[in-house]
Amino acid sequence: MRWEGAGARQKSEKSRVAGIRRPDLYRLTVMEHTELGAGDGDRGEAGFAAFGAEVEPRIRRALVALAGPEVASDATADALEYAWRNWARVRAMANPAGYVYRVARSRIPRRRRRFLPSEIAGLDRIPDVEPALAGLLAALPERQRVCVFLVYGCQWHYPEVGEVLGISPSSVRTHCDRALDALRRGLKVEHERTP
Amino acid sequence: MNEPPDHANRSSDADLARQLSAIAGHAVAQSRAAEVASQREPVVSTRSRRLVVASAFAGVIALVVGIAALAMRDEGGPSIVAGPSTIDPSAGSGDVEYGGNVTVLESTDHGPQLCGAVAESYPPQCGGPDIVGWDWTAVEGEESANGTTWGTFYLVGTWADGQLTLTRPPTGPLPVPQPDTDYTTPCEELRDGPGGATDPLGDLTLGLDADPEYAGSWWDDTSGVMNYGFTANVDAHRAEIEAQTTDPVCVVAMPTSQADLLAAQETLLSVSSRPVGIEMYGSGTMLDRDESGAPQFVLAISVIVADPVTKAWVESFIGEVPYRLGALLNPVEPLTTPTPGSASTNVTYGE
Repeated sequence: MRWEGAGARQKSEKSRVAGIRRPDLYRLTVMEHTELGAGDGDRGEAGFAAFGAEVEPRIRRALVALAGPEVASDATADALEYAWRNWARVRAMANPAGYVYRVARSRIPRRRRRFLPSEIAGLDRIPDVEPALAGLLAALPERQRVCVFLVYGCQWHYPEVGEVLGISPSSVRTHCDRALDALRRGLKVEHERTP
Repeated sequence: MNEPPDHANRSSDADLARQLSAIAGHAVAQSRAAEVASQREPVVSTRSRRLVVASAFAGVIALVVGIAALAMRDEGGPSIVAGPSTIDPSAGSGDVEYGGNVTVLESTDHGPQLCGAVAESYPPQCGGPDIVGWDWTAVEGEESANGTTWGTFYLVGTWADGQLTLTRPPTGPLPVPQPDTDYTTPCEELRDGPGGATDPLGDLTLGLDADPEYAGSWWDDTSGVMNYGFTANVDAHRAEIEAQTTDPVCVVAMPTSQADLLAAQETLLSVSSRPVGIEMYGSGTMLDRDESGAPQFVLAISVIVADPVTKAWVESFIGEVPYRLGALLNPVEPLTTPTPGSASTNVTYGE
């Protein structure tokens, strides 16, 4: 049995509040994992495991850039849960990683889609990092922030970022260029692009 | 944070990349730490803690996938038994044999029990009905750790007084055909649009949860259409949604609102005690089809056995709300080779 309705999501959110007092809700969510669709068989489980192993780090990094580490932790897991429950459909998609990212992003309220340095413990103990940089990163528009975080912070290639975000590599580059310009302006550094 | 003199002036793009890498690495590590910390707690209560699959990907407790996924994948997942006329009247009396793929777990706290759900700890944890006649030496493939032994098997037995009494030797999991959800959009005519701009279950959907006429939504990825159901004012809702996206969307009428389904669910969950033998381990709304093939959302309830007693108990609380019971164990043909889920796909509605 699959739980497709928005109610399942709402119940999950309620379970976060109600916690252990609502064991049925917990059990529901566990059941969601265990009920792989018809006809998936070993191929479905093995395929999903491989898919998850590949995309989980990518989705997490993108979501960290989008909404910070704490929200990313939950959102990554939620998105993979969704993919698991809908694996029969997700696996047939042209860009399943991008789809999972979109699902995760859509479930993060707009007000939570921000990267707040104050939410990153120990940021002040990272040596040789310009004090203003995290704040400037946080101030970037969402797409620019995620792109520059992934390309320059996580050493991804443009196509990799484009696949997750569902945009073209050239768009990724444009977002990165604009983000770097903004960061340079904020840090008052001159453009010294490396080869 | 250190602030070296003239640091900014020394910054090049390479140095900027180095700093961004340091921040990114730190933030990602904190995200990982948050997830790992949540997994240390054996009792699951938040969304992050309940994510068995995601946890397995992190390489923390991969065994849970082996348990949870294997336990009820298509060769053993709970199948749907719903409606007033599909249940054997003698079910639950102890005369009918039920079978299904289940996780069996025995710990230092309890004997062998049937797991409706498995907690994401190591060793795993679960609580459920006792299994009478269980013998670990008679099965293969079990695992053990810290006094807990568990495994996934196909069991056949009689169900009475809230426990399963084995009537046949357990075997490894068997393949069980499962009904699949039909996500096909019900709209034959859709407006033109580029497609792909609407977040599946995204912002549009999130804003609808509070609408008392909202029934639910789903994504048909075959056609790329987001679908919405409302109990009234369908045209107005369609216009409102179409104004928010350039994508083709399908908005249809449905008989029951999400609010009514969730209210029924709340009622069911608020019951403090259940009669012996009624084990409910999950509930939620799900997309379904009525007898004419029209989509509707129903309240789905997972139980161990969908016997008449359980069905009557459910109906006494949720009234006329459409529902489906998903049973972990289903009737099997007597005195023959186990036919798992033999009565599992005959679906009618509980209303």
